Amino acid sequence: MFRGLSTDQAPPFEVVYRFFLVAPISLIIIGFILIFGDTELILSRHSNLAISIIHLFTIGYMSIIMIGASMQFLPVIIGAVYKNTQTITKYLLISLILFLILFIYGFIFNQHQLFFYASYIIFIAISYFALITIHKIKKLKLTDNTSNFIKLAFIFLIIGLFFGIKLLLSFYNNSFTQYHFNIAFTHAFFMLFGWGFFFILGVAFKVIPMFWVTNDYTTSQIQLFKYLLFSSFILITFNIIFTNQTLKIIALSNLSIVLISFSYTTYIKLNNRKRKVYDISVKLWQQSIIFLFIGTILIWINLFIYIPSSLFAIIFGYGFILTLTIAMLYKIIPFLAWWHSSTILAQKGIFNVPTIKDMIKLQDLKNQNNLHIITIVLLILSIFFNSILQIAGLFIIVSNIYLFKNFLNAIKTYKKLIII
Amino acid sequence: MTINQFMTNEHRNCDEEFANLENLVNEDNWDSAILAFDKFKNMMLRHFNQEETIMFEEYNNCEGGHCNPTGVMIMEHDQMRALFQQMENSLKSQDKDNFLGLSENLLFVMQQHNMKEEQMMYNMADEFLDANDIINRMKQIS
Repeated sequence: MFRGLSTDQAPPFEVVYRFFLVAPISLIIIGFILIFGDTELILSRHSNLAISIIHLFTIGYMSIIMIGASMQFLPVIIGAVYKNTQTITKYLLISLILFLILFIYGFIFNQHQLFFYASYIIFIAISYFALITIHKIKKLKLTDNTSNFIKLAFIFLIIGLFFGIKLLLSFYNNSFTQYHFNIAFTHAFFMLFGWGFFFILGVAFKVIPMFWVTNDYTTSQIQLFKYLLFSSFILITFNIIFTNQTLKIIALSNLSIVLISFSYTTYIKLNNRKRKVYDISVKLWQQSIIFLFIGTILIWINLFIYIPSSLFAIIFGYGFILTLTIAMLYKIIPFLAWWHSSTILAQKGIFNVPTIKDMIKLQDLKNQNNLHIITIVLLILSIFFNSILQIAGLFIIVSNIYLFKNFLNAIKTYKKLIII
Repeated sequence: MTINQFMTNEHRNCDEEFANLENLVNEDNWDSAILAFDKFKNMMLRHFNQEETIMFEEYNNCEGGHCNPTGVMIMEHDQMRALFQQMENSLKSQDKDNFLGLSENLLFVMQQHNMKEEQMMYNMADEFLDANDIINRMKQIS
């Protein structure tokens, strides 16, 4: 007799949705900083405010989402099952939040002595989770491109983490080497294109064909991505010590080939997908790909004409990564809310339950996306017209409160259903 | 050909029929949608039959006590069978929104199930069973 879907490999929904609810709060805080912070400092690459904003995004949003999502879908898409998920997730989330508090407070109020504790906390939390994930993937009898790329993403996370801790301790000790800015660039490169982009590639190889019925990414293309990206990382690392513009140009060129190729291929696949039904996640994926494409063109332009780093941060961070993660979360969260609630209800003999599409109203998804796009446009304009920055900050707050509300609605629906 | 290759190919064929069915409903082409649904459902039920009566049976007989996921797979087949019934009811009442909601449900269940089979179940079957024999017998199933 059917007793509902097997949730034996999946953690409880409560364990995972905490990550998804905390993440938008980091973005809302960024909005407040943009409104009340010093505009010049915010737009200045190496200022304390800029560093705080970047890490609120990369750790407070991006990494929290990716870690939460990993707990849920790695067991499903690659068969890497975590044990003691309740304990691990509580520990991870508390550590990341504590780190952020110490980090942001330390930078904004020049309390650099806090960085010693912050370094310790982030080192233990991230390296622990990354190492157990890598170990679980290595234990798999059979691996595929998805598991290999996700394993590499976690390896790059550890390497990027070491660079980051080195930088943070420089501030703690008030001792900066001649390589400081090169290490900062390398840290950002590893985190964005190593941890972030490798993870996205691993996920895309599986979910794009499966969710939307497209052709698979070809083996030759995937191999090319791997070799070009590896060469970029090696060259960028050499550049720390040797500071050679040629090395950097080759590294960025190799990276750009991968980004353009992935952008083009993915956009076309989604356009030519067999499932033609309107899906906001497809629209968000394509939007994010457009930003990735634009960002890549800017990398080349920057070789000849100076492009402010804040523009790169907006295009790659807010435009590409944030839009893409929203695309996936608008699929994952309704599915999890439906899946867990239908399993519990099926065990009570109740099979007539709302569908996945009922978990978050389509109009709410569309409204939030519209606000999100306006926010990105305002952020870009604020680089050229600084007075717009406060308005952009306001839109960041509003669009991410809406994002939080959309997630919360799915979770509330789940909670209402399970007490039937 | 391995069991994994054969059955993964079957999965992809079912995915295409699923997409075709969804598109027809989305276009309010109900007559064609009913025909497409019957075709899709029959493909899926045949696929379940191939697995349950041949592959899983043989695997259960020979495996010898290690991790055996066939019980979970059959449970998920039952979930999909229940969804087919609900989808058929929506189709008959031409309830487009409900149908597309249920098809989204089915997609997730189906793809999650397929990933588990392609990552784990079929590889275990290839390791312990005679692939040619299993494939030939599964091809006989109508």
